[in-house]
Amino acid sequence: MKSTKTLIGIAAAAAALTLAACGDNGAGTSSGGDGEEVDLTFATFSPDQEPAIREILDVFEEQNPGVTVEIQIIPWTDYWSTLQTSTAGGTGPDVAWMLGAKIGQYIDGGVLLPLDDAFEESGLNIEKYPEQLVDLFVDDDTTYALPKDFDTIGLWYNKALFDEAGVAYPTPDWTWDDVIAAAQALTKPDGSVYGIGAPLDPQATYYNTIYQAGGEVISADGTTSGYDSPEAIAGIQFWTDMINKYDVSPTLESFADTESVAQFMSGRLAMLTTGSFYAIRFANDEYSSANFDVTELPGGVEEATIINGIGNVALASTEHPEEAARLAVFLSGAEASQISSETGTVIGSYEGTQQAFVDAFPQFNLQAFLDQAENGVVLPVSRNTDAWASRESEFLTPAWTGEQTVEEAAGNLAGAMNEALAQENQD
Amino acid sequence: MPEQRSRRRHVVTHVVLMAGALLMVSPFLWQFLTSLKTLGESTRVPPTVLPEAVRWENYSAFFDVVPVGSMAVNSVLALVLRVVGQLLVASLAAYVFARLRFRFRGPLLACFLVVLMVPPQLFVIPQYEVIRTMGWLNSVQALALPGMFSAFGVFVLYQFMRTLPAELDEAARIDGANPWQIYLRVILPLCRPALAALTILTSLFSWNDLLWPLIVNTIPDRMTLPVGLATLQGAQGTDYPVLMAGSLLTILPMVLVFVLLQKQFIRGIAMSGLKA
Amino acid sequence: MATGTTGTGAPAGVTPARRSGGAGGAIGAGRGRRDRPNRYPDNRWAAILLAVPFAGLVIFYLWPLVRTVLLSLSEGTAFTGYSVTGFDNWQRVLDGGEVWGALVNTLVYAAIVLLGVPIAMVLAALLHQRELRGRSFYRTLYFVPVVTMPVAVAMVWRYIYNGDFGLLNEVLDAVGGPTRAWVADPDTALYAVAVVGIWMALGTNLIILAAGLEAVPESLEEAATLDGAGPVRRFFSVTVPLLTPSIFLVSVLSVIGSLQMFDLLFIMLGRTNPALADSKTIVYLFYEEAFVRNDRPLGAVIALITLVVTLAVTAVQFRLQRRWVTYA
Repeated sequence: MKSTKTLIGIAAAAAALTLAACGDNGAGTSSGGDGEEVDLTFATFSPDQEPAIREILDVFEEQNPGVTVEIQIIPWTDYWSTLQTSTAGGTGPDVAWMLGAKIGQYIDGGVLLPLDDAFEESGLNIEKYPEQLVDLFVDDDTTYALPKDFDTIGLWYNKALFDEAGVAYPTPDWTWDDVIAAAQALTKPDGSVYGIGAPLDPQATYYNTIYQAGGEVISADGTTSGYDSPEAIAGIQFWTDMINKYDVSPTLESFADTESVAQFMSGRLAMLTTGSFYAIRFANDEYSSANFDVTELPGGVEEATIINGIGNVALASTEHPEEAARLAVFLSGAEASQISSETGTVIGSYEGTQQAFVDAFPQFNLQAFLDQAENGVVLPVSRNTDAWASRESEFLTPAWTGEQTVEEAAGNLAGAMNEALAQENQD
Repeated sequence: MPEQRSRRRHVVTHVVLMAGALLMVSPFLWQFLTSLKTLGESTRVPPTVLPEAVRWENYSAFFDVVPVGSMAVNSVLALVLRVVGQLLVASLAAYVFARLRFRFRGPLLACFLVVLMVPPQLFVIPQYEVIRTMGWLNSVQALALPGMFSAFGVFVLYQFMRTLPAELDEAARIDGANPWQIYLRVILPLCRPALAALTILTSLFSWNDLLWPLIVNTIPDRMTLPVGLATLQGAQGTDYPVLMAGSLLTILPMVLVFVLLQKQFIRGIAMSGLKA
Repeated sequence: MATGTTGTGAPAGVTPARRSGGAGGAIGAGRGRRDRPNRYPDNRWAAILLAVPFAGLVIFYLWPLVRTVLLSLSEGTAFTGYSVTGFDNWQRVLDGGEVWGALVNTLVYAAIVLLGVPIAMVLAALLHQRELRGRSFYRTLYFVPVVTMPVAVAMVWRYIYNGDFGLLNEVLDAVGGPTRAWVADPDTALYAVAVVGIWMALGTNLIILAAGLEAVPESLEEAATLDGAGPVRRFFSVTVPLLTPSIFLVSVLSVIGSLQMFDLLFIMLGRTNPALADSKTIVYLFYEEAFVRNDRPLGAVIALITLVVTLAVTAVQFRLQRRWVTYA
């Protein structure tokens, strides 16, 4: 009896405390008037980059007395739904990471701040950014974000496995056929080593070869799918053949069990095409650091690599538009770019800061990623990219498992994609 | 003679139970062994059972990626608040439904119970909007609030309170007690086993909850341990040893509490499932 | 029954089994009184005491439910806002094949996980032997999965099921069994996940059934023994019939939990899995529409379908209960 009373007493006290605490918290960020404290929040999805970001923010805080910035890390799987929900309700972060594939909906929703004034004030030069990436974030001559970094895709390879098989390392001159031949020589019959990884990964694999074959994923005006063209089919076929014709790659099932990068890092794959963003992970792993290197992607009919970059946007719901815009620009500026490159985290986007990235991990030939940038094709997007991009793996899976021909699968995907695009353009 | 037979039967029983128990715990053993291996070892074909060299570093990787300390504190605070709140709220509602006679009792009770049939993911976005409107994002109360009002507790306590004899209330009423006093002095003390059961179940839910904390608390210092684990997975991809180490660390506290409070745990589960 | 991992806490529950009982003891007592009149003597106190719990229920559960219903009839995006337009979303979902496939997968999953109930019964019966040593030791081991985080154990199981270097294949290989990529193969993925579902719920089922067994009067079993019944026959002819209320409860909990299954599938299969198309459950489909394709209205429709199915299946179970459940 007594103990129950005590319990309830504690409970009541706790409840009262909570309510009191809530009252305090409610105010949250104080609306900073002139010269007052300004608190900004900045949302990102990469714990890997947090140290570099903190360093960048420290510089910003130093240059802007009275402004403090708090980092919010939202895991990738929930980043976009959280950002969308919070932003739509007007209580999102002040500044956030943005991708070209996502920005269309935010621009249409009118929830982003134009950064043109803040950019002008910063004294940065727009010419110093990769042009294709700048265009990703511009709509109607208004700039909503600037690319903070960029990444391209390269051909990573495991030197130890090449040496063991007596195959010469890949060079920038390699063609598709060279890759196939090497992969065949590198594959061990007992299944312990495969020549190359052919995961169903648009950015790292088949987007690149579609453009190399002279095809396209989406038409330039963003109204029709390019998946049903012979070039696109050839670009996809290159990868499905690795599994179903040449037996030089693990199956799609295997990649579902263990992602391609993990298989590569465990020495099961001799080659893997993937992005510059993995340099830091490879460098931090003993085995990978000692054995991996990278070169340019092999060429098809044309040279092409998918280039992509993250931008920083300021949200219109912020209480401090001026500071938020300044922060968004700063995070993509020269100093931020330099810090990102130096830490080897990503390739800074501002011209003149990239050498630092190449120097960060001398064990890898990271210059290959920069050399390719001129052949870069921006990751294809439309106003509502997710509407069709989320269906790609669903429709292409039968081609990867060999249940359908690539023509069939790509044709079906093109149909679904055209439907989604029609819906999008009608809104 | 019959004694011998019964002993033989016990041997069979032990063999069956042991085999089953092994199946139950082998994933955890494998998790532990893997957590001490290198990445290369963890993906070797055929797998090696014991690590070549014990790598405790895999555990520190968890601490490197996320602020484990403050996350553990958040997890505990959220748990305490949610449990206390749920006990209060649920016992009040259960008492009213089980012991009082009032209008619309049936429909109101149905309102509580129907909620149990709804997939929990459905509530998440509107709940998020409520918390945001109150300005409580990234706070302990944000973690605990919706769970405090969970209909599950009402259900468990309602089932229990219904089994108490009606004479209890009547005797108290004759002595001049009002329903609040009866709740406080007569019914609640008798519900101690059910309250203990609910405490345990709510603690479990709170500690293991992922989706909700992931959405409301996004600043690393305000996150809970399961969110930290999800972050680890995002950061380390499929570095199995590190993932296994992190997940083992996250589940360990609850397992330890369980081993210590085993009886209460088991009674708690049995209670929630006691027949109506 | 997958333990819920969301803020709403409780994964499952049931409406009271004794429905005819109505208000339980209180009303029964009231009816017996001589001087009748006030059928609702406690209106005011009920209002006072229920105020806070009900406000919470409205804010955090009923209001979201209403919003979901409205959303299912609306069009729009998170940014433009939503406006009610009619039943188009419902039509789109019901005409499409995806939701029906997911529904079938979900029911198959629920049916497989239900197989865990007889397993738990056998174990509960074995553990029920009072002279048996180490009962609590076994109970502890069987119960551990219940207290662990679904996210964490799903990661472990995914690793064990791995087709290239998983422990399961290694063990099966050693005994000459079939090996494959268990969670990436459309033929096995759903079953592989269901095994984990059984594994996770076994402890709960076992405890509830064991509690039911405790309530079976020993004298009945002894009487059956004197009649010369062996342990197996005794189990089926005496114990099981008396245990039916517990079995029923465990089954209802298991099915409701299964119908809401999401997190195991989400973690164990991942997003680019060739088996996904054939293994999606209905809540997974909800997640995909609402959070991946950002089509909240369509997600709302699917969520409500889940609710309807859960209510329907539970109602059927309650109806069938009359045929096989005996209340002492």
